[in-house]
Amino acid sequence: MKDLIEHIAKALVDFPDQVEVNEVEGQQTSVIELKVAKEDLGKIIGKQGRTARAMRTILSAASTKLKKRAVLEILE
Amino acid sequence: MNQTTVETRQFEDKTVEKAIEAACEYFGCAKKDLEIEIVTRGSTGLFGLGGKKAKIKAKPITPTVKEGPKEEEAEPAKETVSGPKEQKGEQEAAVRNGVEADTARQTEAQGIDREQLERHVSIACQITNEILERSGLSGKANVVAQTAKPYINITGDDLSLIIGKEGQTLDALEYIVNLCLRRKDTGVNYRVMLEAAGYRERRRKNLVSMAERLAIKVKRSGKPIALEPMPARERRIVHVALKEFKGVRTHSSGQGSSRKVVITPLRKKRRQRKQRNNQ
Repeated sequence: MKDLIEHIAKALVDFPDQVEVNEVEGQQTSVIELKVAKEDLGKIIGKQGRTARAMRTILSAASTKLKKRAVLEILE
Repeated sequence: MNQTTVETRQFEDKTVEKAIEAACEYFGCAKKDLEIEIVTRGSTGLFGLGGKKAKIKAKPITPTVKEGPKEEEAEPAKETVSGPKEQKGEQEAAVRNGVEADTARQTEAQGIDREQLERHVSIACQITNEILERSGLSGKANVVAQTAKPYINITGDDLSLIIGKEGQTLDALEYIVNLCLRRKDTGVNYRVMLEAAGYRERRRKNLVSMAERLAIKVKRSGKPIALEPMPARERRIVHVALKEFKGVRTHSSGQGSSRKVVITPLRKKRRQRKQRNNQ
């Protein structure tokens, strides 16, 4: 799942080398923390948070398959 | 060819190409034997609705000398007014008018050709597969190019997850893929549609039948009905479905994600109103 978010994020930003993704695994829920360059923050969030929402939707589909929960957090 | 009276006739159709085709059929000759003047180019209008028709004037060129192909080709110099596509030669134009009429219309406005479009879609397919692979979901994207508008079809075991509740996940995936695609700079501006297990087509059919059912209701009651908020693509389906439906009009109201289609009757039932006012 970390891989998935990293891949999508890198495809969307101007500075792919500054994309950092961490997965904090819990018992049921894992938190995926995404960090991007300051300039790219807007691209990752999108208009009205649309891009972020789309990523979360895809993430939750992927985690349902694994019978888990995953939360995407975008760190500033 | 008729040599006695050469009259100029007007032809109207959705596109200049189609109008020319109609002219060819009417006079029973090839495009190169017609003198064509374009009156209006026509426009597609918003979402392909309410567009203006293209108008042309055409008359057959009467050959004074015996038919020599070179002279014939030199004649229709006036044709240069017509779009860039037609200058490419008769044969190519003929192919476009026939099999690919629809795509030609869509892509022509952007000045791109079919080959470029298909490359564009196959890049989108690649992006989709890269995302699907990493999601751990069983799904494989393929390009469907036989249709007028090429799209991507996903097959696999996890289609219900890929589609998601009310197509949410499929929409999200489509949105992300198109975002990535735009960054690839393919020189083509075309939103690629993702389809899985016939979901989009099924949804379209449902929307059309719902729209028709509600239109009948609106007509009968004389009261407008607003549909649920829908994304642009689905609103368009409703608008198109009711375009030819007599007695009702459609428009969209609201903003952003709460924008919805409203079906309104053309005639309000005055009698009912008056009665209510009198009471």
